[in-house]
Amino acid sequence: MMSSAKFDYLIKQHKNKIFNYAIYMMKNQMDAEDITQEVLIRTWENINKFNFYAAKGWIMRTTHNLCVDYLRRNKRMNYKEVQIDEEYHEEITDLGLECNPEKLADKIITDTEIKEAIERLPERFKSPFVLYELQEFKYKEISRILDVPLNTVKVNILRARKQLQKELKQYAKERVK
Amino acid sequence: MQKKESNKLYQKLIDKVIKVAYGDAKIVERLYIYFKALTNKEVNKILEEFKHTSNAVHNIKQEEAPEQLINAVKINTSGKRQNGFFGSSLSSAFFMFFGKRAITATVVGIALVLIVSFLVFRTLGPTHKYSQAQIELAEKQFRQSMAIVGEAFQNAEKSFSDEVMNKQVNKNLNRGYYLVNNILTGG
Repeated sequence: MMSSAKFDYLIKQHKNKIFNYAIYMMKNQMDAEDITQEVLIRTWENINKFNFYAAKGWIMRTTHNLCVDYLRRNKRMNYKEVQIDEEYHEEITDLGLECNPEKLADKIITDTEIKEAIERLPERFKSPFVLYELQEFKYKEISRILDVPLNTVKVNILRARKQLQKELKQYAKERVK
Repeated sequence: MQKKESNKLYQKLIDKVIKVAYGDAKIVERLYIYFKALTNKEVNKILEEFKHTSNAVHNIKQEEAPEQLINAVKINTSGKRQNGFFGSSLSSAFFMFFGKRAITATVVGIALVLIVSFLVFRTLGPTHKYSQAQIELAEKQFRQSMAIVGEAFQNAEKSFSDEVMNKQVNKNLNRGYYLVNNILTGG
């Protein structure tokens, strides 16, 4: 009986987080729905196995793992991620200076554009970025969810921000043209 | 070499600008970047750009998970679920309240403090344990005080019979009897 109540509470609390994370990872609603359903069923099956107060982390870790599995299975995983090195930093910084910010600020960035730009981020940047900026997880929690060192999480979030800026500038440039 | 070094410094500055724009920089860093932005136009431009994006990102609304999806999950798991008294809205309220670790910890903490303080005050409360000597002394003092009171009553009775009855009442009664006798005997 307690399990049912726990499960109802967890669904209420986390259904949107799971769904949104899955949408950003899978880039389509159908797969996101499948993942959400799968995660919720797994949550029910393991309801008495994980610590109730750590459920948030467990659920998001399961969501992330399922997304990765799905992507691998569907061969959609993009392995050609942007090479991160000194040049990469320079490129982004240069872009930041060459574009006219006043013009850019005048342009209203729509939700859809931002979402698309986030979706286009490489998976290793996107996961921590979505969890941190959109789902309001802490660095430590993200480190546990994604099973990567804390510093990697910080670095990847920073790189995601730079990459996103670059993407949005590209949008702005295209608009100006 | 010098160019590489200055580029590295510039990258660090940009990283700080991004952190400030996204609102997760320390106060010192924030002050430093705001000061830099005041004096350096380029820094100011980059800061504004990232702030603009950061605001847009933070304003993205979360999408609601489709209700039919949640219902499907509930149906899928309903065979194994029991909805008794605790599976009702009462349980939802229970988990709404105790679902957060901080609230549960606070409630448990308060309960523990109450229980401990109750037990402590119960054992430290006033105890009436007197020694045998104290009891005997108290009895003796009680008896003495009763004797004093008794003596006072005796004195009061004696003075009442001697002073009041003899002098004030009996004397006047005798004189009255004497007068009545005289009248009756015609003397």
